[in-house]
Amino acid sequence: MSEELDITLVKKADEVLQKLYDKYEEADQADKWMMEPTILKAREELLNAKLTLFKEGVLTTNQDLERLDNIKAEIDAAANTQALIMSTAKFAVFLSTFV
Amino acid sequence: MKRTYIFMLLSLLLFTGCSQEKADALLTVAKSYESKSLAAIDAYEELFKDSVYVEKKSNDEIFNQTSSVIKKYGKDKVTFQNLVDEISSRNDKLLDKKIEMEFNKLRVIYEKIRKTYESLPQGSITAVKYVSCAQDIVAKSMIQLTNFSTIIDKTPLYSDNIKKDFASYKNMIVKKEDDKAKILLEKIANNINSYDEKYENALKLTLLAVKEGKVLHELLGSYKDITISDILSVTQSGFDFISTINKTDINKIKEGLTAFETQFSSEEYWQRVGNIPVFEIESCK
Repeated sequence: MSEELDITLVKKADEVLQKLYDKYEEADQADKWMMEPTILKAREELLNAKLTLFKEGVLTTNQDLERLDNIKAEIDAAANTQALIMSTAKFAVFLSTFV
Repeated sequence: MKRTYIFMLLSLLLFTGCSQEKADALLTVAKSYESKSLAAIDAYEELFKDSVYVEKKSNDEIFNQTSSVIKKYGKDKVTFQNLVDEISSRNDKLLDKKIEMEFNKLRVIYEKIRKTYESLPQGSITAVKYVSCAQDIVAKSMIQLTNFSTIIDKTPLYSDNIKKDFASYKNMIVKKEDDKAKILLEKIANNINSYDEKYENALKLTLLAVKEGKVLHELLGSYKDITISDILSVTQSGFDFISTINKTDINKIKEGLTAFETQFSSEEYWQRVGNIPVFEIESCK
């Protein structure tokens, strides 16, 4: 069961990262520059989570998946670049707990 | 390769005593399991490294972004370190190094299996004791290899570069830049196909390794009673499998791995070994 949740977590996190790349592409040149550091951080933390899952599993809970859904909703609804950067940073911190 | 291997085993049969000949043959199988496992692990490492590759920006892109951000948000938003990070390649390999470090930790268990048997031909009492004990380590590593294939199958490692290109592609469609979008789609398709090929190769190598692990595991289980001809017989069937695997359909490969996975998750012995931490098995209590 926990392995299924781990896999769901990685799939959802991949979707969130894709959403961030979509937002990056839609942004103007200045906002692309501003968004990039937090996206890179999120990308690095997702790699770490994937490596942990690959080696021994990360033991995701249903509450974790709910938290990730909430972060995704925040990213979807981000009204401006600053809000998007804050939500992306939250996403990176969330992923860092699975290492 | 196959002839050399059989010749080596036959030579052992002719020129050595019974127990030493068995020990040498066992060591040969252990080495073969190590090399096949490490080949599979190398293939997964490459998939991980490919997954984090992102193309660097051109100087034109860097100029467009920095000039825009300075005009919109002020000079403080572009630091010298920001510029160095964009241009310098010094930090490009940081994620690759992280991946290498993690995979080197994984490799230890497979190298340990072979090292355990290296002293066996010399008749080490410790090594003989470890014959049965290390059977569990082989089992644990086989479970681990099968898990790798399952995880990669369920969470594919398509690269960040493909994901970024896909975002650009969608944006081009919205902007009605169809010609540019078609060219980018071609690049995305090539990169997806290239990943799929490497992924299928990783699964094939995994199945080869797990089958060799099974041979080693069975030899260890009946080490006292087994004869050199038994060892030759099981290694021969291994060679027959290697010669056909490259032509085997990927779905058959997956079926083979799933069969192992089902066995490992349903049988009491494999469940028990799967739940023991590697360091506990290694201590051979």
